[in-house]
Amino acid sequence: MFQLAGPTGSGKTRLLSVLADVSNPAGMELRQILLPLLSATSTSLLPQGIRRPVFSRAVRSLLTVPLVYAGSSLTEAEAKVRALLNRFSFGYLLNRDYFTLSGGERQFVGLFSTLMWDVDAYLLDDPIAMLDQKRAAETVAVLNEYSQGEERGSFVLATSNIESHAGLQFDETVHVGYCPDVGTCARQLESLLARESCALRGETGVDLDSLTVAPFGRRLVSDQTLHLGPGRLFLLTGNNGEGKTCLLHTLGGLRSPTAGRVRLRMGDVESAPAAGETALYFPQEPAGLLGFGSVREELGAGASPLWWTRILEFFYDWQLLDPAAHGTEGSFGEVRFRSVLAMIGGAARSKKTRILLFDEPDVSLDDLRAGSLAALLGWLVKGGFWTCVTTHRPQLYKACCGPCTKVTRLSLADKELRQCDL
Amino acid sequence: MRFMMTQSGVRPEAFHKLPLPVRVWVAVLFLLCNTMVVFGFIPLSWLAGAGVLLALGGALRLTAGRLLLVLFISIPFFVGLAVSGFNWHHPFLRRYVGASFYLVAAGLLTDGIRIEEWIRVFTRIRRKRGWCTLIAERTIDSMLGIAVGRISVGQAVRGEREARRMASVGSWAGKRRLAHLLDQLALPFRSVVESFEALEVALSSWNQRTARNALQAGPAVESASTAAKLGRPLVGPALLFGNSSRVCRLVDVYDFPRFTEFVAYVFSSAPIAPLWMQKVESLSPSDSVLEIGPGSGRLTAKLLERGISVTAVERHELFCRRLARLEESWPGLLSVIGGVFPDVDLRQYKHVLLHQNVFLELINQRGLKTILKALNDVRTCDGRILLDFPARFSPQANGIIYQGEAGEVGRVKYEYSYNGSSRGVHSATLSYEISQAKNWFCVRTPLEFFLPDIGDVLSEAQNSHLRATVSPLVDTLTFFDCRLQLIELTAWTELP
Repeated sequence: MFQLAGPTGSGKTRLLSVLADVSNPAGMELRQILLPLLSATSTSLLPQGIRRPVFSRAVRSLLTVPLVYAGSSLTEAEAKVRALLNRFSFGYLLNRDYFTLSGGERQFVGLFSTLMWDVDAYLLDDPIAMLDQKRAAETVAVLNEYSQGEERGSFVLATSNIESHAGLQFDETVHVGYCPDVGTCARQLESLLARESCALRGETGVDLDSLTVAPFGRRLVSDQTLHLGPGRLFLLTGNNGEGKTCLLHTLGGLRSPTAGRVRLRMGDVESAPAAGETALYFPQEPAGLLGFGSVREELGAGASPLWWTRILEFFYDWQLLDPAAHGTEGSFGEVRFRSVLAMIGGAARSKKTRILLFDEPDVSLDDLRAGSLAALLGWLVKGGFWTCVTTHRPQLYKACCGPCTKVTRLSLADKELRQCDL
Repeated sequence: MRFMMTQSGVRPEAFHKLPLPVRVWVAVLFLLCNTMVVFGFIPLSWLAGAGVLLALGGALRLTAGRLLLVLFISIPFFVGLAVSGFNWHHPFLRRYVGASFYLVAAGLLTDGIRIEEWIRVFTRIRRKRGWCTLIAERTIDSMLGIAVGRISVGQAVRGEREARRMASVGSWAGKRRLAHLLDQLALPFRSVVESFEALEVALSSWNQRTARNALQAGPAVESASTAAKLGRPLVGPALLFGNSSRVCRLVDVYDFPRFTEFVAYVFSSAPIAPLWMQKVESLSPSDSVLEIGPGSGRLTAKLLERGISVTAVERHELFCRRLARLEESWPGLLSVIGGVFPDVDLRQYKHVLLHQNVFLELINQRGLKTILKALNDVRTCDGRILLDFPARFSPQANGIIYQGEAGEVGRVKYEYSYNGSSRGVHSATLSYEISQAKNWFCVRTPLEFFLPDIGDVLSEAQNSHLRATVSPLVDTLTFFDCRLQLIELTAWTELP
């Protein structure tokens, strides 16, 4: 088992796609050099992220088709899929509609359909980035077992978050790219943010009033009344498929609650959160958030207030953003980071926006970018935004969001939303 | 009864529990009955009843879009009903509804029989030789292509629009409204293009996987064995990836992982250039010295040995830790400040030393004029500013800066390729590799730095009221085969 480690934008995905010969026919020479190292002549590639073309809405079909295509009978294919899914405690996925799955579940389906192929080398691009800690550990254990078994081929795993692969035993690690000094960057960003201030907009809180949320017939929260106060960064944590995204949608007014209501409270004024106006939502798969301009143009440096220009210049200086790059070009993590900043910049300038909701913004970001993002979110909370983030890396936010911002963890348990300070 | 969770709710799967041949026959029978309804052999109500039963049994997926389509198709039916004076048995109505029910039959063939079942059927046909194989392969490809297009393209377009609305990105940015409008208009089309590209990739990998792998297995093995015979490393230069879209500044080179350790290792054993040693020996022990960028601290140690009080400004933590060790050996003589350029009053120091490209780094960060203006604060009697500068810069197209073992860092290969210059800005690519046990690390990054002519530096120094004396060329370990010249700056006028 090989590991490709490196920061966001260091070329890991490019290297994998060259190995898989999907995007770069000119990489044939490289394939000829590398594939014998892996003793591989056939490869199966798991692309990064969860946005991929699917040929069926049914998870069962997505997983069994490769086996059937390869010649297995329907019964054999289904038995194999069922056995493997049960092993990962994902057995319930078989009868689900792909578009109702959570981000982590979709990533798992992708990983699973890659492993279904009987090939010499499995090229997995950040395969457990969106999985919860328990599932990630289980997946790591199974991958370890597969890599040691003789019947399976070699594995090449690419990641920007080396900690997430901590449990795996690698034969060799290839580091690509370089990352500037994380400590110095964090200190400089902290001092920059301490000097700057976005237009303070008073304290904003969110009240849940006898709230019941039951998407797809499953009750997540039942008749709950709760005050989620201002001045805190809320982290919504939990296992894959527990309903974090659905709850986030409800908090932001993107999905109507089954019963009860969500109220946005600014002093004595109460209102319902309006999606796209008072509440902005950063989706799990932020495709299409940036248009066709350069990063500098997309992120609005031209007509921006001085504080936002300074923040952007800081990111340009530290090469976390390339101002001349096309908005949608670059690696998965780079585009994701730009998209988050585009939303934050817009929100901080908007007079209407009060609530910021981020659905796993730190996925596929290296520590430097994820830490900078956490610091920026802490700063926004200080500026009066009510901010909630779903994440599988709560400690990162605790460490990086600044000394003045309290971090509260929200978790779903027994049809109840519970909060505790980190 | 088994249920399947869908976006529009929960769907029963009773129909899917039936064996595949039964389901296929149900669909075919429905199709035949449909035709018979069109020609009036079977009453329409029978077929309508069968359709409802199948839909309730989970054979048909009911969504808002499909219901809208049914409503749209019903418009001519209601018009015909009104025109015929509500004559339910009018031949037009019977034929129109019968023809519409072909859609239900198509729904049964797609919803009632899963795609893997169809593929199973066609893979069996594919095993037969001749035209059967060709037809089966084409059908599978078309089926997958249509399915990807029907399911994914629509979802992608909807997803993108929804994401933009909810994140409200673009409503505020410094772009013109027309540009936003064009973006909005183009986005769905871009999605379609992307999805079709993805589709093409998916289909080509479906089709060509086996053939391609068979073709590549031969040359791949041959290439590896040839490389091994010739004693070449299997990992070639094409493997050097990383940050290629970025432009690195000179100072950022130090941020390469383990680069500071590597520099410390290389410089800790290299001799100090004789000219620098000569200058250090000429300093008096009562002098106070500001050393900017001392690095591994070789020159600092020489200064401390002579009893000179030194303030060292160093931005790298590793070097700061090494300097702290010197601080312990000569207590009270050395103070270390973290940073790039000191935010202190330079007038308290008699001499300022900038060596090993520190001056070049500073002018790249802050500009030549700013740095010289700041250094002009050192105006004490006999005060000197000593700096080395790459006076002769003659890079080759490709050159090795260092290659070999570097202690605990591992085996290092550090090389450059020079791409030329424009208006004093030089462009190059740095390649830096470390091999250590099971780890192999590589960086290939573009480098841009501004290098003024030494004549410009001297004249700018003169404009800043600094007098310059230039030494002969010095050889030292540095980038791009350049040779350094030691410049000594003193103040024209001395403050009382």
